[in-house]
Amino acid sequence: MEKLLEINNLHATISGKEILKGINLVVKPGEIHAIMGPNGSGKSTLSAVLAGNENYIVTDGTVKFMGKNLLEMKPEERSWAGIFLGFQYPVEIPGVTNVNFMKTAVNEHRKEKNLPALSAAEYLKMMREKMAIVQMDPSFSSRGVNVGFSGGEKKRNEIFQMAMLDPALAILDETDSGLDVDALRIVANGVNKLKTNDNAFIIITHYQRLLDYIIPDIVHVLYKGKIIKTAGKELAHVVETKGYDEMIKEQEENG
Amino acid sequence: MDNNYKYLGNFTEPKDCPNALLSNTLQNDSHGNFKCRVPLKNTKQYFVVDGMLKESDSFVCSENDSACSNDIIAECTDFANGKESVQREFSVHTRLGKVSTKLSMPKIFREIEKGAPLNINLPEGKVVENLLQIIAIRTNPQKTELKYDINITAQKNSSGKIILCSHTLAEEKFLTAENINIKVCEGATLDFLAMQNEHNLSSHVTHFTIEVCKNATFHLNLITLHGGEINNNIETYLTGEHANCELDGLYLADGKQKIKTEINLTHKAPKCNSLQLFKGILGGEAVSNFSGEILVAPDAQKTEAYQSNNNLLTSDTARATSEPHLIIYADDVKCSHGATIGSLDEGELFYMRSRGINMDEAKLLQQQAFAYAVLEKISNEELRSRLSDLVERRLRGEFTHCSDCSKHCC
Ligand SMILES: Nc1ncnc2c1ncn2[C@@H]1O[C@H](COP(=O)(O)OP(=O)(O)OP(=O)(O)O)[C@@H](O)[C@H]1O
Ligand SMILES: [Mg+2]
Repeated sequence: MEKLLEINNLHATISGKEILKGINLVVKPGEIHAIMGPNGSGKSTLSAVLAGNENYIVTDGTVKFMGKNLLEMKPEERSWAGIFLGFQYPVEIPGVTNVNFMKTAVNEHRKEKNLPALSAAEYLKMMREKMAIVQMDPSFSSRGVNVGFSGGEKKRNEIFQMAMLDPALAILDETDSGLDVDALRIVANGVNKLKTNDNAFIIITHYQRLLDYIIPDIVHVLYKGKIIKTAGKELAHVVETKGYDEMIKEQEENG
Repeated sequence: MDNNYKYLGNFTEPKDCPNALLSNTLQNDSHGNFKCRVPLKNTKQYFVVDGMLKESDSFVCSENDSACSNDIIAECTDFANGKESVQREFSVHTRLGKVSTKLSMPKIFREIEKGAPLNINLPEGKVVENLLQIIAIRTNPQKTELKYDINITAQKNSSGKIILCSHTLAEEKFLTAENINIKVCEGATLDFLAMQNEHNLSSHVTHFTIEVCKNATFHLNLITLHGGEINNNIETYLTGEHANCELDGLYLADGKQKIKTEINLTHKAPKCNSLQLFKGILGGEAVSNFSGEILVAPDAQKTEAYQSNNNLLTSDTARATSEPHLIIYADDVKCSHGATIGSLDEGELFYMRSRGINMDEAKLLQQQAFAYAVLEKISNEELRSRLSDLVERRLRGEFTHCSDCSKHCC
């Protein structure tokens, strides 16, 4: 397959305010993209729109995922199709245990593929395997989803969920924020283990740190709802050392 | 209407199997005998059929028959000989009653037939290990309006667990008025679980009068799965030092169901604790009115009393009101109350959906999570999981399935 994701001139608003102002992006299988950009530039908005958050309204443009019109699909359908969003702020769900949550999710995915539901033992085996990838203690499974998890534990839980669902395209929104150095390495190793030639990642981050472990093929800078610069992994170093000022100026001069 | 609530839809559907809607937790065995799915092993069962304690052949116990027999613990006073317990009449607003003013309300009940009271006595010092289950069934189309008393006394230092299940087994517009008088004497411990599961045409009024004495502990779990119009009136008195009382309730209503919960809890003695948690999930056009009053008498120093009532509305047309009242005459007390009325959390729903959990399932998970706080208070693990299962099935709308039908007509 040539293109996994193809975003064309995407515009989106929230509460009547335009946040995305014409995004163009193509992601192919096997690629790792990094998206950087100042606070408030619209990175999380883009990921929310791709995951199907109904609070955002797409006002223009198209998004194709594996050749299908993504914008027509419900959030759960996007998940079944292979989109995964690692949330910048994972949601706490008191009263729903991690195990019940993920088991329901995995079995919904299986149902969609006409596979039988996993037995409790099968699920447990799979869960332990995937938890090991992010070195998460199995005791987390009986706790409410993200309830009382530390910032870093929540991010690890996101990667664990990703491992369980084995998506074709994972969008990780600041998965590195809040992680200590060891956790950062664990999470990055997890991503690298899950990386294949068939899947792709969009990594949203502010720092070069994470990209030392997960080497991106392409780096984009998003500013005021537009991608103002796209280049190879060296762009992340430029951002780290010089910040965004120069790029922004350049962009503004070019109109 | 919300998809989760297929069960609640129209009472008369499906037409060819009306009983499917009536008897969610009931099953008949191969001989056409009646069984209730709730009881556990070693449960002693008492059937109260239209207000009469019954051990007829058509009703059997789930485990062994000997456990079923009416032993010293429970007895049914013949109403003609027994004395009617002095019970203050309570007013009720019911769809079936033609009278609409509060004053003339009690009349309905004076005129209706009175069943024989069921008396349960836990003898002094006796620890009753087995669960006692009272299964109250309304089935006789000739007796649509009925009133009866259940009197429970846990004598000094006794302990026991009682569960009361109410069902309707015929399509009639049953009106049931039930007085449940509970006295937990000094040092005694009583767990009481009431499971209300009746059909949409039923009106059920339960008036609890509960006295918890010195050093005694009482725990109520009131699980309202289904019913047309349900009225729970809980009057509780903590009368001796160090009395301990916990009242927990979960009510599920949708369609055009109505549920009213009224709690009056009085701390008469010092150093008592009371804890109340009532939660409701309301869909369709269901209406819930909750009012909870905690009264702390002047002498009741060092009282600790907490109440919370949380309502989850799953549709735009469901309504809930919540009125907590604290009346405190003592000065050294810790009391609080809180009430919330909310709807499903969008952020949680999106998070679940983004993981591939479809909307209905995500809503269900959220409702189960909401109900969990009450269900987890059921101390017996097996009973807790059975009731959790019933709650889940209720929320899924799976009660209509004919496999559960008592008549196996389809
Ligand atoms: N409900 C809303 N109403 C108005 N503006 C909003 C709303 N939600 C988000 N925004 C705005 O949209 C813009 C983009 O936000 P977004 O979260 O996408 O930024 P971001 O690039 O992810 O930033 P960060 O790096 O801080 O995570 C911000 O200016 C934010 O204030
Ligand atoms: Mg962001």
